[in-house]
Amino acid sequence: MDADDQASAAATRDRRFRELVAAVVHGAGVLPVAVRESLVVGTAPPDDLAGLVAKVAGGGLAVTDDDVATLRAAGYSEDAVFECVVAVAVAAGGSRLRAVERLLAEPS
Amino acid sequence: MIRLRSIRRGRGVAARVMGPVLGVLYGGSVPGFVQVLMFRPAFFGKPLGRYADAVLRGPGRWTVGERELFGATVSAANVCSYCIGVHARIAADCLGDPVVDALVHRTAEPPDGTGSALPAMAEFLRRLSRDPDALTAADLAPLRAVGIGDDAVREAAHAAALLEICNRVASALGVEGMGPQGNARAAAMLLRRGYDL
Repeated sequence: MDADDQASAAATRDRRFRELVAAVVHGAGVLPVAVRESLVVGTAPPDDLAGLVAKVAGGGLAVTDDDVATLRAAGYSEDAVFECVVAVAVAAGGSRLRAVERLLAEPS
Repeated sequence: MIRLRSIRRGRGVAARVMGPVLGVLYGGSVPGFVQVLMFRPAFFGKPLGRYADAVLRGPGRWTVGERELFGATVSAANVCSYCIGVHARIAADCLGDPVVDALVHRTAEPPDGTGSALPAMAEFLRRLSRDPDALTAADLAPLRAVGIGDDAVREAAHAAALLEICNRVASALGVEGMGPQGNARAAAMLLRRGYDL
């Protein structure tokens, strides 16, 4: 594979990640776009989502049925819970990509 | 069991039409994570599948097996049983069980002929998974010492980012790991058809 093909493949990977982020933030959903955007960029979530956000950011294993039940009792739909989980997961992926770019930009 | 009833029950055309089709393609029942992907596909499943296909199947410096091994390595770091099972199986189908045992499960020494680049990259991705903000440029030195260029690091980082996403979604939503037969069926399906379904 030549250099042009490599560059094209790299551009496709970057673009597909941006498209995923765009779908999660701006696609049809029940959580407000501003909330989804804050979850994807990792800024402070709404208070009642903070517990779930922390557990998903930490890997997701700590999430329990009770976490979902608590949010459902607070008025969040299952769609809202799903959107929250996905947005925080995408944030974790983005943070790894940014960390690598930061390292590569540092003097060796 | 998947925590959200809406996902278990499925919704829309994707669940009604694609569910049975995918059940056949996967050789029986639809894996839990695939149920998640079919739930609101425009929001998550479709763009994730397109991203996964570009990262794990598109042209690249690393082979398909090596990229799948990176995904399995990250999944092991995050203790995601579903993703470990599937991606380790694909990596083993491509690279052999001894390489996966050494670099993903860490139960053996790398076999002769593994080379130095794959272990170095896998170790970097484990650190990246654990604490991305703690890494410094010094963490790149072992990669550069074995000839891994910046673009190859970026490519591997995408495989890691993809699985950081999938691991969290699977674990948070309660997707359970499959047994050896289910992993083998899923691996065969994903090697044959890719991720952009």
